[in-house]
Amino acid sequence: MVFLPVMTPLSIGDQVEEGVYPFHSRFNRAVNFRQGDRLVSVVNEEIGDGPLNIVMRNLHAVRTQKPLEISDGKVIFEGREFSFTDRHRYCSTLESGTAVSPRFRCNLSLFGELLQTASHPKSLAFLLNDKRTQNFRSGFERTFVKQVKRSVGQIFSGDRLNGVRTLSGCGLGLTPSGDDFIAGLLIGLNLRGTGFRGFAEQVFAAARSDNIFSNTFLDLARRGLLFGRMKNLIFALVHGDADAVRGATGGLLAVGESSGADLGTGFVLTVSGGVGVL
Amino acid sequence: MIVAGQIRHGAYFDSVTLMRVGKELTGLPGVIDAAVVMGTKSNKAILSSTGLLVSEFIGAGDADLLIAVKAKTQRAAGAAWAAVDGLLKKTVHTAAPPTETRPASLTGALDILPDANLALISVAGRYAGAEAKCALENGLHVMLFSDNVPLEKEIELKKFAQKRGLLVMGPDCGTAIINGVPLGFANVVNRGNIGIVAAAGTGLQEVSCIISNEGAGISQAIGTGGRDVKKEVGGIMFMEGLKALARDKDTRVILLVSKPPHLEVLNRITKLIKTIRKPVVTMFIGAETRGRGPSTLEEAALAAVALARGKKPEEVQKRLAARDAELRRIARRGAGKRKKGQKYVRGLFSGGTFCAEAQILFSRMISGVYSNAPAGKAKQLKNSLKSQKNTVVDLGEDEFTVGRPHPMIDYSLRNRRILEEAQDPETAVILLDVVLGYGSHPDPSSELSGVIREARKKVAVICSITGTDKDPQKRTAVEKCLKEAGAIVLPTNAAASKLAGYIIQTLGDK
Repeated sequence: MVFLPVMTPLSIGDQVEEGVYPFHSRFNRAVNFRQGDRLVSVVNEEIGDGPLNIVMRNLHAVRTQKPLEISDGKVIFEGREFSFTDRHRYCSTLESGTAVSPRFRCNLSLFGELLQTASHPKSLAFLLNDKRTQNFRSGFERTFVKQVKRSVGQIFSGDRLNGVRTLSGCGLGLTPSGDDFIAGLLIGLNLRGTGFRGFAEQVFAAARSDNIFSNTFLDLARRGLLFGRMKNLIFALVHGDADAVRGATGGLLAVGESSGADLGTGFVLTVSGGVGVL
Repeated sequence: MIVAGQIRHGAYFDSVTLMRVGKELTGLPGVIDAAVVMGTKSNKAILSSTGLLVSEFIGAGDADLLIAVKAKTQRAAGAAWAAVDGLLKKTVHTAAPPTETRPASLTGALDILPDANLALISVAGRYAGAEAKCALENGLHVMLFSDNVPLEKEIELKKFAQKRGLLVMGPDCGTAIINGVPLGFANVVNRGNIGIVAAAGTGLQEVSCIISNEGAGISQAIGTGGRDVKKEVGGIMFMEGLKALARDKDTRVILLVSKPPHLEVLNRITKLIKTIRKPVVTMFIGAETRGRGPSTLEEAALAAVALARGKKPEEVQKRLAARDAELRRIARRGAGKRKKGQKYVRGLFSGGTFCAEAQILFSRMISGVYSNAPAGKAKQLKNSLKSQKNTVVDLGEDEFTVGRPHPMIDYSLRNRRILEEAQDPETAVILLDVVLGYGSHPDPSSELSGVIREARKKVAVICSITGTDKDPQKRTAVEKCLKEAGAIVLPTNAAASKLAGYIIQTLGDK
């Protein structure tokens, strides 16, 4: 007998469409497949729900590069077939009736404080608390901080699209910190209402790059499609108490070490008006 | 001063990795500054401002990884380049840090847990014997999950253990419950006063779940591996288990489950039973009972419960007779829904014991039964992949499991077969077992619901569920999902097999 933990499908994002997706890349917690501009990821529970995520419990170390096939409630991953029903479908949109309220303002303030105290030292939370720039020491890092401050200042002081262009792609990693911030900005614009949709489109156009990860992420944010941890946070901000906000913030900050905090910083500055804190 | 750069096309790393690698490069002797970033326009601008932009980077794209080093000397830069790959690779291997201590040997495990008294061994069969011997020498009982342990090694281990008053459960022992702890494929059952010795894994799961679902409980459930009751091994551990339960003050009733032991072994077991003062219920699947003992796992489990409650086991027979009459009524209704030409049952089992039990029950009800693992009067299938007349397949047999997980874990093979059988115009009933508990598929209803919904458009689908509400999958939740998909769900394999047999009988009468 072979005693293997079995891969079990947990959820499939509502933006995952039928098709055959060639292998793109793999990481410890995700395997990515690309078809045109669309990137679908098979991820583990730590990454969790997302509009284009297929979440598997016990995601094994993947050795092959077989394409991902999705058709009629079935997913073929690594040559194995998994069934998905409607109850597996993750809904990435906010429920109707989500609105900014006095409770939301209060919770947003708490969220901003938590970003300053609990986020990764090298996240963009230095935009909320200048003391945190002390965490950036090398020559590259100090220049990075200056660049980000300049770009974000432009975004919230009128020269918006130039600010987005210079912030886009700024930072390390798969989705550079600047792109995460812009995704938070787009989510915030969506939450602020239809009056900001046109601006959101312009921001997305200005931020597009050759980075498929960033483009996918930004496109989803532009359309108000949220991954699970961000959706939980907004729900907690709108409906929850302080404990709910703390819990949801912890969930968001666990995303990609600094990514969640970078996104959260973009979101909180956008929703709270932005200019005053810079 | 040297500024040098490298480009890695299409290499993706998360930001923390790149931060760490950049920091470690900067900390190398003679390195003034370093950066490892994706080649976006913004990052190139920052590199330029920092004096880290080299001409090679100009044409790099957003998906390229740029590594820049500013060093005092060429030698320091060279040392940095030599370190880069190792630092990036290290990331891959250290990204998921171990969350628990994992000793590399039994001795190491005993250093951490010196009071342990049982070792569960699941390594390749050729190494398992040596590990088991080592455990026994250290005074540990052994559960030997591994199969393919040579027969002579099994005999040697069991004789060695017997001399030291230790148990060797296995080889190929998939199930045990010791001091309330489920081991291998086992269920979360009530604790109680019924002790079980079983040379049949799914048989043990079935009786322990029935007992628990009846509100009674298990003291200990000792597996022995199916080979233990063969002539060569001589039932050494089956009898040691029986003796252990006879001595156990928390065990009031003993239940023995196995496929028929070799006659010599059976005689020894019978002789031993006569010396035990506690009630002993025996269920040797397929053995001739001549009306004296239980004929199914269900009946045996219920008899043990009755005895544990101080009641007569005969009451169980009355209860089951009434239930079977109801099954016959359901069968008549079910048969009426089948089209002309639909006349056969196709049993697709993940549990070997269930496959055998179904065949034994069918032998008394219908003719022309074939199997890849024949029991009772069933005949050998010519091809395990192709059904003949009434077919009962054990999907846990080697021809289905080589190179893939057991069908209790991986449903894909059985799901395909269900759909194939449903397309056969001669199929009237598809019979399935669904085994819950640790080790089994964590969400069987999600695997099965779709195919059952499809299959039941053409055939009747009957399922039994082996499990409890305390299992991670929750029995009632699974039952609800399967019923919603259109399956007829029965609480035991015996009941499900009888219903399937009654439907085929009724169709034959028509």
